[in-house]
Amino acid sequence: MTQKGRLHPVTIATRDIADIFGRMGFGIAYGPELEDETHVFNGLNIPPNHPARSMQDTFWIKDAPGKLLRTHATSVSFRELEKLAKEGGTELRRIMPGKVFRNEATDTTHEAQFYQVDGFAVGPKGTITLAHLKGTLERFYREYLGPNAKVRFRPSFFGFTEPSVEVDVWFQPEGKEGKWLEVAGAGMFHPNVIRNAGLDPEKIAGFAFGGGMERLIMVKYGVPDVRLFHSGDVRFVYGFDATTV
Amino acid sequence: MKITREQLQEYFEAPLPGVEALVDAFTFHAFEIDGVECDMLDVKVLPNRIADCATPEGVARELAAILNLPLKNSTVPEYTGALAVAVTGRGIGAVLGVDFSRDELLDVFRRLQFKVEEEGEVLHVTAPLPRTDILILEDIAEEVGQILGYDRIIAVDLPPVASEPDQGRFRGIERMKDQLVEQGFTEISTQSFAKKGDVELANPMDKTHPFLRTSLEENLQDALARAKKSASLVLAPGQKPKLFEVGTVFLKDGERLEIKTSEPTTVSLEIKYEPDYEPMQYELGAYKPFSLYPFITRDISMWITDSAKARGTVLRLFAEQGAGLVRQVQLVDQFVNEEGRQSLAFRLIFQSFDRTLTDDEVNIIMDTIYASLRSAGYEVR
Repeated sequence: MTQKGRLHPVTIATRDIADIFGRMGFGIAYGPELEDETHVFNGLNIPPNHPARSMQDTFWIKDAPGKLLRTHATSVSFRELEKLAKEGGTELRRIMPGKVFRNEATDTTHEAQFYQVDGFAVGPKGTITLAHLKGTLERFYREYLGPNAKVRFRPSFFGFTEPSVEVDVWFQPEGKEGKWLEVAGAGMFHPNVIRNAGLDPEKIAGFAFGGGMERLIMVKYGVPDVRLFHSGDVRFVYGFDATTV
Repeated sequence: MKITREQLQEYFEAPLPGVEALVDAFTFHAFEIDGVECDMLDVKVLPNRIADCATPEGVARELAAILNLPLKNSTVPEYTGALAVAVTGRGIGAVLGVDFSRDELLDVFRRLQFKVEEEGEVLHVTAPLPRTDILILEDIAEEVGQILGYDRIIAVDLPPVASEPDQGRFRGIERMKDQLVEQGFTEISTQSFAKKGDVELANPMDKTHPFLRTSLEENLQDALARAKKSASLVLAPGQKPKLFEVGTVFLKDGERLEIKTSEPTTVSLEIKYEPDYEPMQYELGAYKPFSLYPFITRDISMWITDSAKARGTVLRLFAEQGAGLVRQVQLVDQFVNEEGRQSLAFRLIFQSFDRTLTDDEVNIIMDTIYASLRSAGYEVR
């Protein structure tokens, strides 16, 4: 008899995340990993000299000006907003689980490539606010991490959101002490982003968020080193369940 | 910027709270604190506030607004040429999702030294000149949220949506993965960077892998070779590793999602749109790290009488006598002979987390296991 295989923990987490957000009305969108400046920076209100660019170390493509590996998956959000504008729609909710790239030194908590879950909800102005962002994230983390998870916001700055917040979640693993963990960046879409996508910021507004998936899995299951995820090592995939007689 | 409590105190008549309270004040109302040493705070001024908070005086001014304390010898703010932003309480509420009273809003603006001209419902708000970041209503809403505190924002559920959310492509991909797992394939994830390819990075981090992969094949074969070495650690006896990966590959004419298996499969690897498929969900246990050191296997078989009881006893003996080095126990064979005697055969896998085991030390452990099995009444074959 053939023994069943296993799914990678990122796949298992993505399914959990898709399920929870699906019940809150979020679809799933995909977009290119090799992107252009318009969708990763310019359209997202991060022009060439914008201070936010210095915060992201980007892999650029040789002999292809303006082409780069996406540093976040909000590029897909922007593409989805462009589609919404073309279709003349007024509301949309999407999450974009996908690989992103950062040109930074690797260690136990940093990898040059990792998965991010970015997401957004837009609707007629005033119907989707920072309070809904808090409600959405709180429900997500409670369902994913456990019922005692709590969310708090701290001031931050990202070009594509205004206001911008860092999202901390209170996580208490069973039998261990709880603590606040920085899990995501979020905020209300900057009106320029809505406008750049071809929508009217006087009429449409909404929130956006994004956080690393490996970090969430590491916290939930106690994985010590982010570099295990994309090492191609089956021992990592099999490290999550008891193998018995 | 590094600044001490004492330096900050110079800007205030009233005594400042302790370092811990200052850290909280900045963290939840303005800037992250990167570190604290004695009474020195490392304030991480956000990029949009460099213009007004790059100096000790600027940071003190922000703290004055947060703590609602007057500054000593405060210079009169300059507004000439600064932009007035028209806001309403309702407009700010539409961003933050909280309806703060007009008085509370006016108090925030006073603390921030924002000039306000009231015109009916509309407030024309002007920030002092160094605040180059205050241009639109959303900027003002952010100030209100920060100064009053984001803990004032109460979580609200999103309203329900009219149409079913579209997860069709995702579910199509996941269905394929479920079918592969059913056939014994295990999913892996590997790096997108490669030694050769069609698309090259201008600034690779790993100079030996400056390209983007054109296929998953090479990484999959490499992973398979490694999986074969550790197969007995993760697979049932006699099973050989079968792997698959789903990932983006980058070709001259663009990128596409590739699904690659380490051997042929009857599963269709064409992505279909499956909005109604419910992907399998799994509950994972806590992660158990694996050892980076080689393992040693030993097989052992014995005659037993009562199968259910014997298994429990034997497994307990393996654990007790294994010197903490028995990583795994696999039942590899069981049969009943013509005389009705039952046989069990196990494979023991020995591995240390901190060194390479030798055959000799495993042999010694096996001897104690044999002895304890015999004294428990089992006939080791």
